[in-house]
Amino acid sequence: MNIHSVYFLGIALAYLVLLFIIAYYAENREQAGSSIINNPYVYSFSLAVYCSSWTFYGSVGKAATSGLAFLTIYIGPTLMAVLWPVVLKKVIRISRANNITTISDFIGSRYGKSLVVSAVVTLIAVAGVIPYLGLQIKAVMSTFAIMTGESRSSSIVGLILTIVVGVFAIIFGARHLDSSERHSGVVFAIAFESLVKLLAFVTVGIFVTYGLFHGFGDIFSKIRLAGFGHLLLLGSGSKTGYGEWFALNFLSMMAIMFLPRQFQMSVVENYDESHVTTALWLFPLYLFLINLFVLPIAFAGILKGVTGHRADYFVLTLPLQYGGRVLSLFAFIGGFSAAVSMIIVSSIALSTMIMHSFVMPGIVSLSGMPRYHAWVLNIKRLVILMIVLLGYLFAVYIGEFYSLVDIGLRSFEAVALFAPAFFLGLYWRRGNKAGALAGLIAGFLVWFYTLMMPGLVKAGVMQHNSLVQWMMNSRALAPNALFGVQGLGKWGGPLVWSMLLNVMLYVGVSVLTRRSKDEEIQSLVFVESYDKVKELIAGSSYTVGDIEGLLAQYIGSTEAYDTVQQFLIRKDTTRDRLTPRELFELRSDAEMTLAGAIGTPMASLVFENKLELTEHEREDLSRSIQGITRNLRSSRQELTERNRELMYLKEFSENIIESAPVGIITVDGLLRVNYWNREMERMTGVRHDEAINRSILLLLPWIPNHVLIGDEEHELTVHDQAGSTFKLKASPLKGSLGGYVIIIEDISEKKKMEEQLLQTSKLANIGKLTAGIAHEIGNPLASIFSLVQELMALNFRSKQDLTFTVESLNTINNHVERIARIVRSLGDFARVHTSEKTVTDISEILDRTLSLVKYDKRFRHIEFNRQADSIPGMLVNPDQIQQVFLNLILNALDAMPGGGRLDVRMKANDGFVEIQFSDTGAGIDPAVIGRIFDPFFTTKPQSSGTGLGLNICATIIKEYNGNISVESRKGEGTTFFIKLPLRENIR
Amino acid sequence: MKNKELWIFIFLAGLLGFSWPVLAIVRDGVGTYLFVFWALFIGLAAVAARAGGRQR
Repeated sequence: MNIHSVYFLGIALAYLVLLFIIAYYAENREQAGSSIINNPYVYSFSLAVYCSSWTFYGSVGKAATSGLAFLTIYIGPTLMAVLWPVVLKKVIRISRANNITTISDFIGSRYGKSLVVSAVVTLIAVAGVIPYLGLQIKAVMSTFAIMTGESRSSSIVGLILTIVVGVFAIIFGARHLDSSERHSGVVFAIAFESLVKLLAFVTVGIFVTYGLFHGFGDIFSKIRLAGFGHLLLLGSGSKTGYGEWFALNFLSMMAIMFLPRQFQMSVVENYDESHVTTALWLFPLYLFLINLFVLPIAFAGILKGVTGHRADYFVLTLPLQYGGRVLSLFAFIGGFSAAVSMIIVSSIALSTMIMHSFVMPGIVSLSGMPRYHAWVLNIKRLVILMIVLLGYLFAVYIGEFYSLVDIGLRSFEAVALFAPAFFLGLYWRRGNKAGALAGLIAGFLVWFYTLMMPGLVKAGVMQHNSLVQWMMNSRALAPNALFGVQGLGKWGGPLVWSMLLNVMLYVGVSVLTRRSKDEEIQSLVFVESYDKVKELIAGSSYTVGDIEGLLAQYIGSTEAYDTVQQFLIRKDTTRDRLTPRELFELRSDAEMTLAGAIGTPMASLVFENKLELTEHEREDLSRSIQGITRNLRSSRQELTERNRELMYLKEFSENIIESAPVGIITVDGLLRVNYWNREMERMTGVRHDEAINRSILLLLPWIPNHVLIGDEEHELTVHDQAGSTFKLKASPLKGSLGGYVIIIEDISEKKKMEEQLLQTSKLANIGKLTAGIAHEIGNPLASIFSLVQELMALNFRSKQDLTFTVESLNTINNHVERIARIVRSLGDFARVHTSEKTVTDISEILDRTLSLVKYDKRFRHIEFNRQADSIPGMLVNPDQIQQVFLNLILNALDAMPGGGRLDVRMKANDGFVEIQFSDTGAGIDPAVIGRIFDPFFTTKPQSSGTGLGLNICATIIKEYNGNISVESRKGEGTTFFIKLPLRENIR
Repeated sequence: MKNKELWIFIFLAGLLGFSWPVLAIVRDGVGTYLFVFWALFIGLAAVAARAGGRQR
């Protein structure tokens, strides 16, 4: 190991430390009750564990040698993904109901909870997946050699990394025995790694396509000119026939369902069944993006003649030769990510399968050890280490003989063998254990003979004796053309023969043999609904005492009693009133309690009393399982406690939200409603279930779009089509999913009351003014009266009479005009205005108000000083603004009973209109100045003040997002300042 | 069309689009066809998933 190796080993270990931190963070969040993996996007990204180093490196190698064939590995899962709502959701439901945690348990459980079927499935999975694990380790070792410039892969580096990754899998995947619990740390770390490898691959792709060439067109035209045009074809003239194309698509469709790591992520780690709906398009989109640049990179490698390494590593060698160290390091991390994620999840999934199918049955017969549960857990950890080490050995001793794609496809062929037992088992009730076993074993033999044996012989692992030589060279048994049939393709041939035999034997044997009662029940559980099972079992001979007694033997009488009591409470019944159906359900519950600790098949065996143990062995086993159960019980109790707290909090918050007198809505990032409270139903007439998942913009079209964009809070007043007024506040929701919480208050009534109050206040002001203005009308009227009397006394005989008459009429006319003007001013002010805003010159409103008050005799001793700049037209309600001005002027008048000066200034400044009313009156006592805008606060005698004037002023100014303030000195005078924003109120 | 039937229909449409004889018809531009059809297929699945979610 040279200095470069140490450097890159350090980088790889640092990356693993980062993964540890990420996984630790996710686990902490889970324990705190705010799971980060309960998210459809994290779920979708975690499924991308499918994209291992085969995708990262091998796809390019495949594209460089076979052209478009590499796409089948991703098109198959894309096709399968659209069937997930039909298939995967059913699998998740069945698995959850039966505490199933592995693909082997699933298939075994379908066939009467058969341990033998489980064991065969596990065996096939281990045989198929260990080489695949080796492939990842081989890729890591090879890329290390490329990065460090060594000619050979360092097996020490491979071993160190293998062990570290194994330790990671142990820490986050085998902390507890209950394999039905989710591994939030692992899931989140895998989702993170998926992002890293996608970014790394796309970055290299962009660099190659646009940095080394001039885009896709340039690369494709050059590759055609270089004589590699066949790589862009399918069928005749290319290296991939349509038969092979179909076979590879089929294989990858099966792989996405049956690879143990995919089952682990898509079924066991699934938090919410609804996440599947997002994953069915997001996961294929991920596959699409990661494949977008495969062809350009492969062709660039060919065109640039990158030598020294095979095409499998063009993703690394191209950046290394042309892109510099940073890009090549990023590519290295991406490939490392892809390999590590696969190793971690596969080792966890395989270890659980081995534990449930092989180790637990063995441990049962060796029970009696002290600290049994700790031993079981340690064995599981050991199994994980063994799995990764087996992968390492494969990489070192056999991996050299295969390309990355070749190894991967052998694994796909192996897991595809589960298809008949899995799919037919889900939809065909007649399928039984004997049929499943016959099909699986026959398929496995074909797989081993056609795909594994040639490689093992080549590597020297198997002896090339005369029998093997004869078989492999014979015309009928040649592995690459079984039974002498040519033309099925390298992968199509083994697939066709293994699948044909598998299906034929599965169907044939199932039809010819009988099912046991267990198989019959399980076939109903998997194919039909659970209710039918209850009917079938109605004649069960179990009693509640039998079930409790049987359970007590293994988990202790207290736990057994609790299990039965909880069931009775849930069913709201008593021991005496249990129906046969309920008895069956109780038995299933009891069986599931054991299954979480020791696996489904073992729990089934234990529960059916099929284990033939001596009394002493039974006691030992019982003690051991009680140890495990205590362990589980404490975590279950903790979980129950947390759940209870959570439920209480949920109920508490929902009660508050539901009884709130304001409408509360939450929407997701796509603006679809996911909460709609009772007040919203009342306000809009739209029911909760009608609103959920619909777009808020369609439900409430009067909400302006801009309030639901960006991360800012918005508060505004809006009107609906029916003219109701609402106060709306939209705040972005924190968290990765985005969305908004919208609070809506119906303020129509409040608005009406405000308008009425305004009108009342206005009438009160008119009342005040009338007294002062009366003499303004009285004086001219007296003059008119006197003139009319004099005119009536005239006899119109002299010219003087005529002249007097003309002068008098002129005077009368002037007086009448003046009176009319005063009455018109008062009338204008008193009229009920609409609440609509119009573009208005507010300096004109000021002038109108000053003209009105000048008629009041009390203003005779007041000196007015008006300074008003030109103000742009503002969108205001003139009536409201005049009310503000009048209130302030009348207050100034009240403050200056003996006369004084009132300065009114109005100017536009820095985006605001500033209006100032300064009087030289008595001033306001500092002790009460803070309360003058409060409603019903007044310093005047009760007969002359309501205490609403200044409060109305403040309310009106606030409505325009403005501000009103006051400064006063006792004995010197008072100044009111008003600031109105121009930008918001201008048109 | 029920939800399950819709997904099976989309699956069959995809299977047809990604298989012979359609691939033989677009033989000369099969690379471009595969990527375009793939993208459209994902888009269709996304739309169907959203529509399904809304129906629920």
